[in-house]
Amino acid sequence: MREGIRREDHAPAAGLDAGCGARLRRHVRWLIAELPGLEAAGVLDAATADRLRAHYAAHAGSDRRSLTLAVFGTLGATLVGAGVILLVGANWETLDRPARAALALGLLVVVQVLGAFAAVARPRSVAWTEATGSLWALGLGASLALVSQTYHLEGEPHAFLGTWMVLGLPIVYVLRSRLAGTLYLVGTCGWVLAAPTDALQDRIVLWLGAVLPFVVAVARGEGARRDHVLGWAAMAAALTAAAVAGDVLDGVWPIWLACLLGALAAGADLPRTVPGWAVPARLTSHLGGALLGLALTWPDAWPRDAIWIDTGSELLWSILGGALALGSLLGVVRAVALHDPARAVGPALPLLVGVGWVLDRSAGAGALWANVAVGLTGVGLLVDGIARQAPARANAGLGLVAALAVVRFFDAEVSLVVRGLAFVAIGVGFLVANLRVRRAPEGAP
Amino acid sequence: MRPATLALLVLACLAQLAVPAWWIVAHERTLAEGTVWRFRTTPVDPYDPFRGRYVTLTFDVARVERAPSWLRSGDRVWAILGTNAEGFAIFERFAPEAPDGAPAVPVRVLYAADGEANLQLPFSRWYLPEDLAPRVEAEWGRLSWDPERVTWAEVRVLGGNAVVEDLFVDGRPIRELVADPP
Repeated sequence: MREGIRREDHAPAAGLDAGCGARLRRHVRWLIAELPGLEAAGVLDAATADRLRAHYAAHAGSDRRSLTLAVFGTLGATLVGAGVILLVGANWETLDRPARAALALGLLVVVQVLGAFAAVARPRSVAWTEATGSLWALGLGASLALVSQTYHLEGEPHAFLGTWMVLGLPIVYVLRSRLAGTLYLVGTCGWVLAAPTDALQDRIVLWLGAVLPFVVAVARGEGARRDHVLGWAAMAAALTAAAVAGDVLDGVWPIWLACLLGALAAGADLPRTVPGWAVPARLTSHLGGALLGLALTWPDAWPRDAIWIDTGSELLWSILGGALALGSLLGVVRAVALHDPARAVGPALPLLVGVGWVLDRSAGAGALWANVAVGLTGVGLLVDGIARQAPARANAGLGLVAALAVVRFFDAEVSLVVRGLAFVAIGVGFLVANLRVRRAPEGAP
Repeated sequence: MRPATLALLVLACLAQLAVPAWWIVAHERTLAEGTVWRFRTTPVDPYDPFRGRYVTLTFDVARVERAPSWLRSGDRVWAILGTNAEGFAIFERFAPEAPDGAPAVPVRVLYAADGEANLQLPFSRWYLPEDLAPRVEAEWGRLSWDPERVTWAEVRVLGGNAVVEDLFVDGRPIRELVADPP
């Protein structure tokens, strides 16, 4: 049985496993809130309602309780660790070299023992695994830093980060700790960005992939709701990888970035993606797609570099980009199958940017295409949002049109009066769109 | 706990302990058994976000005026140690492989052209407490104007491993000098 499922063994209902815990917990809370009404309407008698309440109540609150325990456990462990470090630090100058080395190793042993205890004796406790996971990862870094400072070890910060991250990676898998995973992702992004050469960045970014199995397991439901932080860290890691890919494949960087954002949009819409992951992925994809589209409305933003795939690195990033494009394409197919074309906008980004890239290379019309595509997408989302009574979608469409108008006004020779009138028109558009969505009869299509 | 997770736990703990333990053993051994070499220096005071303040040591020997023609930028080579008339360390010659018996340190060639080269030595950091580093820097700034002053790093070398033991100004350890300026 998977670790994530075992974590939820305390669930009173057999069906409430970790794979779909968050959604079911919301349903359980809804059911408990409905019980008085059902009882009053005579659908259930009082005894049945009480039995249902008792059966589900423990589970309905369990996630919040374990989250609170995890937060306070981590905070407590970090405070204790920081306090010990401060106490040692205050007397650091009075200690001789062997004592410093022993303290540094001792610190590491203590956090390892705590982590091992949590892994062996408390693998289902979120509070234990998260608190000891973060403490172990931070303690490892502190121990390495103390030893290298004591012996005046050579090495740039990126090399230090590398040693720390590589040695800390197993903590993520031993404890299934989201906080340790987050630290690993953030640290590895720092390691990539601090690397002095492109070739080194290229190799280091592969270490981001080492945590991918854990990240995918969490995105598919392991641990349910406690994943927002790790989800955002994963988005930062994905964008860091895109920056490196953009350096390697500088002639097609917008297409590679569009493939990543498209795949994120497609992944966020998959039924098994938990909300804690869908939200960061969707926001990153939508916001990133909008910014990319707007950036490409300037002709200078389109790359003019030649395209060569003659190194292993270029081939690797091209294959990865192709895989992401395939994921995006599947997202488009799924959106079409669901008869929801607006849902296809995110996954269709690679296609849109690819067409623009071809037009730019062949006729220098990439920026023109981007202006048209962004404008039509905005209008399409607005119309679709109003038709489906979806205010978020309608406002996103109008926001996209407004953003396009703003960026065009910055580089157009238009009088202040015209600009002012245009802004008023866009503002009125926002108001009208929202009024139409609000006034629509309930149950309207 | 699954056997694979248990194995990973044990391996992770061992690897995490092995790396700092190896650093400690190698450097303690060098400090205990290594030969002392004095390298002329010019310190400045940067900051490492993870390990705190340190004095960057730039060495006279890092700039080679008559470099062998086979040195290329980016090369890692061995610099064989000797001493000049004043007793300070110099690089007598360079070798592509570790020499047998002769005291040497591995160096990276940062730049090599027209018979000159700049080298990166494997010991260029000397960590200090947060409050002491700026004072060392300030004291050095004051003393460095005096042409009579000589600064050097005392470095122990053993089997290619080098550890900075202390920093001196005119024969006085820098900590002592900062505590009691001349």
